[in-house]
Amino acid sequence: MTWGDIGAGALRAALLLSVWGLGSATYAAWKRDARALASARAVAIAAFSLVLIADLAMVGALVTHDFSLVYVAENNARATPLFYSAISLWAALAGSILLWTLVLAGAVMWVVLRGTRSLPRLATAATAVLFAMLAFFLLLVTTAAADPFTRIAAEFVPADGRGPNALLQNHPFMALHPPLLYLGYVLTSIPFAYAIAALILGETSDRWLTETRKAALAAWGLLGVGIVAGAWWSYAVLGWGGYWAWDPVENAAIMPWLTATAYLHSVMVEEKRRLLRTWNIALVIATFALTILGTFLTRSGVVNSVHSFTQSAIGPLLLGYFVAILVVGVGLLLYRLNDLTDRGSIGAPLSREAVFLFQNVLFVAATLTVLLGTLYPLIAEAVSGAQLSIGAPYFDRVEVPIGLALLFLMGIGPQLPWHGASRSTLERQFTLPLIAAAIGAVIAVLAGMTGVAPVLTYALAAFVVATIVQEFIRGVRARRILHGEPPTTAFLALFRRNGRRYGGYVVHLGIVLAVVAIATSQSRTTELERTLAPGDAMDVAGYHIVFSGLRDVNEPQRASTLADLVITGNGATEHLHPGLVQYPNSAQAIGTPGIAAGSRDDIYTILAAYDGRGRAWATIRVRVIPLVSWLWAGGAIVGLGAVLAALPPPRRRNAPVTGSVRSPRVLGTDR
Amino acid sequence: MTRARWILVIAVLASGLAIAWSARPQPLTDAQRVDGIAAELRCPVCQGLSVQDSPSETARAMKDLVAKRVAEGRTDDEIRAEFQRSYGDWILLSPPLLSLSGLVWLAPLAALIAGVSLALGRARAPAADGPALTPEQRVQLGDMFAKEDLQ
Amino acid sequence: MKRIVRYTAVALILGLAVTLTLAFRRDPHDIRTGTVGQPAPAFTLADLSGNGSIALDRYKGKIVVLNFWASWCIPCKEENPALTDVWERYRGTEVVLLGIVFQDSTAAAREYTVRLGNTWPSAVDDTGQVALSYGVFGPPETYFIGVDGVIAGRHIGPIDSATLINGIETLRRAAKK
Repeated sequence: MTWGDIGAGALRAALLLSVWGLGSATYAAWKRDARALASARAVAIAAFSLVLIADLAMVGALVTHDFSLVYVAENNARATPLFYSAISLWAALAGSILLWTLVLAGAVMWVVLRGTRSLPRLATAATAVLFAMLAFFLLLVTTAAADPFTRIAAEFVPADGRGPNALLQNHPFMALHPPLLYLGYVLTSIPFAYAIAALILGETSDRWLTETRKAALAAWGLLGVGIVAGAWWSYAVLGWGGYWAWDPVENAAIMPWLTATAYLHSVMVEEKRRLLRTWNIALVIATFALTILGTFLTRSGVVNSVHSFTQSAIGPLLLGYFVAILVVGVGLLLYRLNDLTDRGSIGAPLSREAVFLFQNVLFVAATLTVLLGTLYPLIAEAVSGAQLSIGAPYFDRVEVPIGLALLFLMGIGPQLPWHGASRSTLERQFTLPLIAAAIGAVIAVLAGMTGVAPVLTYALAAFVVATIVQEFIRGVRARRILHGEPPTTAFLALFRRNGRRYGGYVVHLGIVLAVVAIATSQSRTTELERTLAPGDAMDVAGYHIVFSGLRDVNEPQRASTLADLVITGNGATEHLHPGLVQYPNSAQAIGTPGIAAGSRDDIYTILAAYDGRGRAWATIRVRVIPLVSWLWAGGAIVGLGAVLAALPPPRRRNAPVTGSVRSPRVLGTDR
Repeated sequence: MTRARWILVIAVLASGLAIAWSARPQPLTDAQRVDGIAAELRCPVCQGLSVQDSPSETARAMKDLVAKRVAEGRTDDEIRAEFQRSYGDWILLSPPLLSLSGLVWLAPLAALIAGVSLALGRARAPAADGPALTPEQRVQLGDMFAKEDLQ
Repeated sequence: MKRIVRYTAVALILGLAVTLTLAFRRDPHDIRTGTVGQPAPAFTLADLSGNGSIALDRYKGKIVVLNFWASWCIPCKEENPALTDVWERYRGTEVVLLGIVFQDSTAAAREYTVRLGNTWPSAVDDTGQVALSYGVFGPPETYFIGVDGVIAGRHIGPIDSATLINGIETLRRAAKK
């Protein structure tokens, strides 16, 4: 038996099982049948195991260079190192869909095993929805659309494969960023499945919200960290010194993140005030639909992108799936519209819920802008045949003001009480932050920042940080008075007692850090390009860069030419080796930058060109990019904050009944 | 006015002044103009990168041409138009405001205005809900919520 | 109000679906915009052979086939026989074949013409500005310029004899009218 037989067999069996699971879960939810639920549980475990076997079979085929599979022959070569062979599972279309299917099978298993304990009927219906999705993805990987186990006829099996895409085997970050994004994408399907289940069953309570809060938070956190990891990969690999280009695939990842951010905030309004219910369901549907739209855009070859995979039959299927999700989701929502009417109204414009509402408007406007900008070239060409581009200048101009407004709301929202604020509250909450904002603005101007956006960013960042610090100080002080705890214990207890709120502040801090990093690196980068002979030097932003010479490095899978640079200045001594790497399967050499990362600035060096014959000169491009490493730190802090916010709160004796209803009943006695 | 209020007024004034100072019109150097124009042009051999960002040779030739035209004293519009003549609208990374594609600039604005006015319409004074709370009661209520959050 | 919400939702979904379906017909690599229909940008460049310069003005009233190429470009090698064929066929007529070296060192380009035995003139576009004025994306690209000095057509990628001859003959017929 070959890897191909194992994998293809496992996937086909899993497809049959998921159809069976769809049937049994539907029956279990409809008739409240415990035996059918037990069967759905067993099927979910079996289906997950089978997909896991298929994924492992693909990894096995890649690692053992089994070129009888098209996927392996196209994405692997004998010289590919073991690590890159293994992660080539997600180097191309079919493999990445296979990984996606695995995560989805895991989600089905989690909902049917864990979810049904607290909300038996709803979770069973959600399981049915998830089984339907799983069946769709298994259909993709078992048909020509994205079959990773397509075989090559024995007489045509090549002696060696083509090897992975040069860009994808040039940096270990490739191991990290796609799986994080896929996890985030797939986890958005859990809230979606619950929402659909609630709409189908006519369950008008908000219990599904609390039940799926963690899944939504996890999806959001993974998407966020995955996006930052992707930006880091782009920075470290693509060699242009930037991290975000508003490339369609980046846009595809940021859109669901934006709507998910809106949702995580507006859901609090529903929990506290039972408002915005229709809106929240709409956001859940939009988030999930956008993950599929993004997959469609980047996997179907409709848009040209660094990440676009080659065209395949998967396009129409994904488009159909996307439209089906929208029709079912929006259709059900409209059908139940009358049951979801809010009772009560949002407070005054200066209340926490109103700020959440404005924040939601801004996030949705930001999402629509990205969507429009990404799709507009397609629309224009379809309508008038005109070919045009929409890129960074457009997105920057529209998104930066929206981002600044959001930063402002991030400062005031958490400081405002629900319902409305009095004048004295406002003064109490905002005096210190406003002083901090002034200091931030003045520092930015004194530091020589030009332009309204960067200075405003600094002012607002200082404002937000001051509100957060103020919150922590007040929290610690309150606990010291109430419980007599020492400051450190009180500080830690804040997270333990109310991780959601204080974890949220940590997330906000991470965002502020990232925003400051973006504003500074975008506006204060210095760049210089010089053609140097060995021994020559150049000076950029206080750094002295000596070019010592060119050097060739040959490895089995690639040949590189490296420039040796010695950099001194600003108290640092660094040896950097930017190079041009030639992979046998790629026509053009790809640049690998040499980066010296620091907390103050990064020195980003690129070998732009060199004398191929005499090795007598090299053109070196140097970018000194301030604070860019704060962006990665900000991403990590956002992730940490999300983990803190997901910490289970300790049980309270007199906990309010709403919020976390736990039903010990099993499904069979639910009637 | 109390001292706290004075400080507040000074802080707001200082922020306003700093931002106004940063917004003062500054004459651009030629190099800044070249960078600005290059950031608006799409590199023809790259995937969505601007001429400013791309390390490719074509992008370098384009930037050289921009620098040459700036030195010759052409305006930004003339330089952009020159590239538009050879590569079409495709070469511009953001569509001009005054064209059919100006719609992409208006749509986010329209969405924002519609969204904010809808939100404002929903955000009413709390008095509409029931018996009005005095400002003191409202503060007490806010503090209660704040305490509940703390425990 | 509810009705408006309903209709808007349906319209949006329909619009999105139709747009994305239409987008399938589009090839993101097919970029049509360019200088076709406009007067060919003038240039004066150094001759690759080293003697003197080549100016487009000199060929006023003739049909010019302008071919952008480079020694490092693999598809250029592929189309070279077609170019040789056409060069021999129209030699001494009012049809001129002109090469323009794109992002290449003069030494490498000379070596390439010698190795392949190309005898038609080529100009060196050192700064790349002529390529930019024609809207070149990458070699090989071929432009057909009529007797009126207007660019009548453009071909991206390797070209074959039939396409070349067809383009030239169309221009010849137009010139006779």
